[in-house]
Amino acid sequence: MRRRVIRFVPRAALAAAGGSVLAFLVVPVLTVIPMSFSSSMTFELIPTAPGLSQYQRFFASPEWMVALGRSVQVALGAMLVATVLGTLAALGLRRLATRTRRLLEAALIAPRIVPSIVFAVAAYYVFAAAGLVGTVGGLILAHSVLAFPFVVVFVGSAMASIRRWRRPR
Amino acid sequence: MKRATLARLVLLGPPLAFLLLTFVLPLLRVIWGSVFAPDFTLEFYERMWRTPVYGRVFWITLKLSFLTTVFAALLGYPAAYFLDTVKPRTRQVLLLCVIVPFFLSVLVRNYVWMVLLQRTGLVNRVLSEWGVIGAPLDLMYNELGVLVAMVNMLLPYMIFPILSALLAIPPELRHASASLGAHPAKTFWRVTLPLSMPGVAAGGLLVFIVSLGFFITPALLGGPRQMMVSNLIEFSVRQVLNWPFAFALANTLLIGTLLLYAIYIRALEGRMPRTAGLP
Repeated sequence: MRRRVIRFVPRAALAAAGGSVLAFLVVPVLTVIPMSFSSSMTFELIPTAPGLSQYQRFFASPEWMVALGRSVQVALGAMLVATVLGTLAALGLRRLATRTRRLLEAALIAPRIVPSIVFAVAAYYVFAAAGLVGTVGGLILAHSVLAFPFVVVFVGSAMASIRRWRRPR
Repeated sequence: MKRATLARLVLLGPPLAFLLLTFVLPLLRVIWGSVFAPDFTLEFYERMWRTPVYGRVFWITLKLSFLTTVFAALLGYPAAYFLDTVKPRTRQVLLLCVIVPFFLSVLVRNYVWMVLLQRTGLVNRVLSEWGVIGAPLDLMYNELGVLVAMVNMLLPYMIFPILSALLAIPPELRHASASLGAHPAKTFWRVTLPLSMPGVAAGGLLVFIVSLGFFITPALLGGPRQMMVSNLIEFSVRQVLNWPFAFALANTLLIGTLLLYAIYIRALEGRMPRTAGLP
């Protein structure tokens, strides 16, 4: 269905205002792409001598490759832990009374609300005692905590759109 | 045990146990560490309270968060209103502009702003090439730089709740207002704006809460006068190794954030779509 909405400003003015805000959001991010093809060491938006030298430098460097491998390891690990636990939580939340569910859900989303530095300092202190600081396992655990709320919310809203079926008694 | 109870236990047990160990326990350790060092003391809170420099950091944090919220609302509302008026297909495409930046790391996005705002950066170069300015402007290492980047990063938190509030307004209401002879401006003022206010409130509260904990942006784009509480915590841990004092700061920030979050949850209970909190 097409929504016809009554506007109080001309379409062009609204599109210009809304469009500039959307551009403010996305354009800065997009500048990364042309800049990556620059061959100079200073920042250039439109490269004077475009090339793949930065990519060569990146893929040829053993240090960067180790870092890339570690990123992938942490991402895969966090994905696994957060997806499994977040899906379990989303399934469990569906079986609670509305009030309890809202409260518990709010609590489960808290890792995204608590300031990152507070969680970082707290996790550092406790993880250090458990010998987890400086390990990929520790990074995976911490990132799982931060990724977990996304899974709870997305799985939860996907399930909310499924029609409730009746279980045979 | 009843089957239903067992199912709940099996489903919710593991995630709750996980969060308890990796999230709640570390935070409790922070609370504990801020008052027991090793005997009970309020020394660190007292120091935080008594030293004017630290008071200033809290004041700057509140001020920057407030300004970010105001600018995010001023920019977010027209964007959400525009997205509300376009066709659903167009909206889906345009919403990518809001969602895509979220996929990029916060660190990368802050670096991008450094590239754009530095004295030899893109903004300054374009402005001087067009002859708008004679000498490069100081766009970063000050409040302006921090605000621009914070608003940029937090706008989606504002746009999504406002948009879902706007989309929830039945179009008939606005048509009724128009058919009764109201000028479109009056329809907006008396119908659309009041009905979308819960979205603005939700977005505003969320932006404010997340702003309070900002760390990377003031560290990279701010100067010494833009130090926020998060930066002070990092400074206490890394530079002066004063853990109990860092714990006291962290605990204060934590309690403030959680109080506001509780207000957010209570005030918006059932009024906003459940995903409003997370874009």
